[in-house]
Amino acid sequence: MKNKIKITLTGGDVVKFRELSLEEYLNLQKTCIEEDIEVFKDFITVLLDDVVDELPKNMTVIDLYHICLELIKTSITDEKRFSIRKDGEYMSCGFPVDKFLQPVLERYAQIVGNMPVVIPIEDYIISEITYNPFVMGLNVVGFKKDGVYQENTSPQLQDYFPVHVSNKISEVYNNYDEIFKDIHFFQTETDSGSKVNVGFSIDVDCIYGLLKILFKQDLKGLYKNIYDAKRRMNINFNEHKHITYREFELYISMYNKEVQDEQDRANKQDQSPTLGGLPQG
Amino acid sequence: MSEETSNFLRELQEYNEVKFTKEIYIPTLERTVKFSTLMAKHQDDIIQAALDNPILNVEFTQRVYKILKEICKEPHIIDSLSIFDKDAILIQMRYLFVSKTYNGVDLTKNIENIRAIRVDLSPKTASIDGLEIRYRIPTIKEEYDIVSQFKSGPDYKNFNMSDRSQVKKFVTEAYIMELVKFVSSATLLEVGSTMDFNRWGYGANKQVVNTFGRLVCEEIQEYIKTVKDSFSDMYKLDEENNIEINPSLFN
Repeated sequence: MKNKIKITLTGGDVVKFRELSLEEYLNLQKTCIEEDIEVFKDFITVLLDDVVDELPKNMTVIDLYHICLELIKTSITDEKRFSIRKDGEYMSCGFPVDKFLQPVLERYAQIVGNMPVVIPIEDYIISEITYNPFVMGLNVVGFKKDGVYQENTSPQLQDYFPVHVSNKISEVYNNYDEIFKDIHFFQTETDSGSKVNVGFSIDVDCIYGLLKILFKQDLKGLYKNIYDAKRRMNINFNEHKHITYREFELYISMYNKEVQDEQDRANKQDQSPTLGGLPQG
Repeated sequence: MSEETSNFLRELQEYNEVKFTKEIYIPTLERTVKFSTLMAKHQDDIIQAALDNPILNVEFTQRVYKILKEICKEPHIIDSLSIFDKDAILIQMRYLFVSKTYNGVDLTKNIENIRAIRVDLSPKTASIDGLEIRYRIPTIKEEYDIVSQFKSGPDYKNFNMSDRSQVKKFVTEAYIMELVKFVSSATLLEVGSTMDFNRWGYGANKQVVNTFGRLVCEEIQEYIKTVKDSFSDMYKLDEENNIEINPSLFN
């Protein structure tokens, strides 16, 4: 039975997940270098199904973001490094992963109690729409027709709204997106020197784009470690792909420490005085 | 999808048809035509086109064509309407289905101006530099075919606005495409041979236009300007600003 990590999401759902295996981590990194964001989205969907015991029924984009960042913290790294451009110079900066998580959760906690939002509609067959801009599936949760509330079961419902009705939904969405707009994780510069704030949006594609950046690590370095592990430590990837990535890193680190200790011992021996040896200094 | 859900969506669509179908004025027909309401899925489709090359607007042109065919109550007329009819329809669709303003300006005057347009559709020709150019006001279908052929050709790829060489390339392409749209045929007067642009695809027509000298291109541009001027009142917002016919019109 695998070790599970438990977290409580903002809406109260408790979620348990396991760490990523070395194989899952390798495939994740390969996906992170794919240009097409849809490839990444599909991969994350399958990955979360595999590693999370049970995803929340009406999972929100904030839940997705929360679970993924906890996965990064437990399976990959506590700190994310970026190459940031400032005054024309590039520098490597490390940020704790929590820096990308806590402000979002704090902001969401302030408004989650408002969900879902009831939007009155005039002059239409539907008099009210119940809407949650954060839900990933059916975010038009329900509607009122002829005075009777009905739960929405069709993802196509919104497609059939006339534009003046869908614009009311967009207005609510934009208002809630605005609430997160002043979250700035860090600032960098473009090649032309314009300043760019890296921040947060509740748009699902933007969230996946940010997750892709946060999940991405050094794929080439990983391949080198896998190669070194096979050559020097007899850790064969195919036989050990089910160990967690953190365990693999630990083995690499323990091996490197052993090598370093031996090297230090050898250096000490070379430096100590011997009978008949040349005087030092 | 359950039967109950299907029935409800059908009921919704029928309700939309009855309640929100509008009359839209077509300048070259000098009458109105009924259009169903623009729905959220159409709006999404058009706005997605904003991710495309903003110089050539290929995706926008293609998506608008399909939407007009879908919501026009006389879909068989769409192909033969002019591209200026298309713009008139889109401006009216903005006014009737999205918002009565655009960039903060009331569109009522623009709608009145559309109804006042009178179009001269008589064939025009010009002889210059040994060439006789027969002009056309391109139809919606002709424009759709040109951009579709360009899109399937080797030059269309993911556009990067920050790559100046790509921007220059597509600005040149847009210029050539504009000339091709408004030329019906080109006849070499000395020899008497004619290139009928309606028979050949965009690639071949572009090659012919690329051989035109500066005077010929300027003459064609002058014709295009004359035609555009006759429709200019429908785009005008104020002294300096015009309505831009692109995905932002439906935002």
